[in-house]
Amino acid sequence: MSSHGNWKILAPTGRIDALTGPVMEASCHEALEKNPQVALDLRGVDYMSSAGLRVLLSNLKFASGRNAAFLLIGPQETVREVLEMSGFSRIFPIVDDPSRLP
Amino acid sequence: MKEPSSKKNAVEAPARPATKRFGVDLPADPEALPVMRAFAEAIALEAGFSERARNHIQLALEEVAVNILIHGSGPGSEIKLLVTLEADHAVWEILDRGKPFPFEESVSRYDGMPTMDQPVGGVGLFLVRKVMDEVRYEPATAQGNRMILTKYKERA
Repeated sequence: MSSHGNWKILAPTGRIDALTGPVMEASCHEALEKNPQVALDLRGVDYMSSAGLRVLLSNLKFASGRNAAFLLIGPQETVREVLEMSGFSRIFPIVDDPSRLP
Repeated sequence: MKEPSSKKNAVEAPARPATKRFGVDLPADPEALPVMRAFAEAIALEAGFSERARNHIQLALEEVAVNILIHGSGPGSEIKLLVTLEADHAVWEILDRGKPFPFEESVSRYDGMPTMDQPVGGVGLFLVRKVMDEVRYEPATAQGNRMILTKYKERA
């Protein structure tokens, strides 16, 4: 986990799917318990399934319940397509890179 | 003297590519997912599907397989994956012997608008229908449940 200003940044690599999703969810929740601003850097993630989308939504709800902020950084084209097709891109703040964090 | 065969100089019509079928039996276990992925990727690549189309195929197959793992066959059972390659498309069939899957109900469970207030279900099947050109389901025949997914090459 790295920092950018007040933001804590998690940067998973590879796939967020049914196999890796639970670990990713636990990591994000742990980060959100300790930090009011958490960003998930998706630049190293090349695959996301609906299980991954559910993890993202779980994190967003978890953050909302704690008045914390949760956003996404730089999804690759394949992941961005899944976010857009599913409608999930409408509810997630997404920035292109860490320098764009609010 | 014997006349040379006229066939030698005849212009032959291009042969229609033959239908090819491949299949694999996989244990209904999460550890089989990477094997399924490798099988599908190798066949789709060899058949000439674009990278984007191959990503779509991978996503659709995995969504169906995970659904079977969660709701369908128990431990020790199998998932059968069959693919039929035609000139311009591929038909993927995923068979399992689990309980029938409420396909129509699942199709209507998600409309593309996630909300923060309600549990989100049916997103996997929603994505499958988005990325594949045709999606059909045949419940519990003698051979088990059968999900049939068609992907065309040029529509990727």
